Amino acid sequence: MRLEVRQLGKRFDSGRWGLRGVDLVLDGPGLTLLSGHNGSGKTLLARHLLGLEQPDEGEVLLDGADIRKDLRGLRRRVAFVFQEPEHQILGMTVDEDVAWTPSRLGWPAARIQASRDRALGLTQLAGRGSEPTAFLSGGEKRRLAIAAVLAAEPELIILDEPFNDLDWPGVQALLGILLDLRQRGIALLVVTHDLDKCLAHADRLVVLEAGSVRADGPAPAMWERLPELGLRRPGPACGTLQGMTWLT
Amino acid sequence: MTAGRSGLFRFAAVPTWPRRFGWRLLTYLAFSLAAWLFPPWGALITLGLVLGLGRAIRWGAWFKALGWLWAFVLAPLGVGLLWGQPGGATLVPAACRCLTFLVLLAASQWLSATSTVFEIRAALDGLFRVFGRRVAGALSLAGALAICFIPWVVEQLEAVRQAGELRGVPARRPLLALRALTVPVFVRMIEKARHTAEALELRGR
Repeated sequence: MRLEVRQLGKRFDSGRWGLRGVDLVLDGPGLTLLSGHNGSGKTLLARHLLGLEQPDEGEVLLDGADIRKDLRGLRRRVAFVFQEPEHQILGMTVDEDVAWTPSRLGWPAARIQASRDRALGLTQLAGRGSEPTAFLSGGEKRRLAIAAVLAAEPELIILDEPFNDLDWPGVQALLGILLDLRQRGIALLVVTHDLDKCLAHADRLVVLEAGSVRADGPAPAMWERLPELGLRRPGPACGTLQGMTWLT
Repeated sequence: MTAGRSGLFRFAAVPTWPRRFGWRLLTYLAFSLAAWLFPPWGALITLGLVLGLGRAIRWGAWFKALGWLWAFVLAPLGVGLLWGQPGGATLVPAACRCLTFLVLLAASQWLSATSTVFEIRAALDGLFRVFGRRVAGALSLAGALAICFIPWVVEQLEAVRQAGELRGVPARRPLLALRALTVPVFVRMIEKARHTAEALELRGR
């Protein structure tokens, strides 16, 4: 799967450009981070990738075709995990929520059950299918949101600020899930400003600044450039990229 | 958070008999007819059956959570007491009517508490099918989502009420409190509606 952004531009009603001249290619599996300061256009770019926003300039292509020609097809292959997981929970119980998209796709019951069980297993929610979604903790809701998109077997998952409001065990659990998904060949685009939580495990880092791509490259090379890009590097205790991991 | 509170709102389907939703819906209709047509014995037997079949439901909490609905349940008795014939001749039929209302509410609780959102959506879909597939799909989705959002709305109301209280909204002056709470609750509901619309776009309707 190749998701490509060409010279993307989006202007707000106020006349200010939220995105301008953005070029980006997401091609194949791997963990890509999309970072930048608040208001740099990270979430806006992610929304364009999903066809939730109409660009004023440029285009978004999926395997060479404009995504607007087949939005349903796009959303079957590209999934989105909202910044606030509660915004995307549509079922009253964990099982109902995870089965939502597969049942809308008209899959047979056996396939729905298999994909649901697999998704719950991968997100460490196995055996909790009958629990009410309203009773889950913040970290569990985040995992449920990931399980819900996983159940539809997407090729690319875009996660908007997934580390927000998570404590250390929550970050560890989420990182473990993301790395597991990457190993299974699922492409991941993580929109985040929490670089210290995930850069050590990323394959690529894209940095946005004022709506344009400021830098794009492999994570180790970008680690050297963090200060130059205006992004904070952790303290001396984590003086290397490997030292930044939250998994130990 | 209100999620942990027991009350009218259910979060997961409670096990019961009959297991198939269609049969459960028929049983519910039979209960309702029995309560309407054969008070008080039909209503009393139905109440026993409802409580027995739905024994996994926390009926004590439910009776307590009925709140202002008790006024509706007891209204016939109030009318009988205030405007009935002298000697209490109208009190017995009024009490029977109260019992009927209570049984109807309990049977509705039994049906909704033992059904999943998917079952309710499928039932609504079948019910509205006479208006065409598109309309039925839209109406059943709206109904199912409305059921899902009841806990969320209750939680938001409670959060806004607590925030208001901490910021000086007097809880003992309901009209003033209502005025202060209306805008934040309304804004949150609009936001929720927007996010839900996007989630439905992305996750499928």
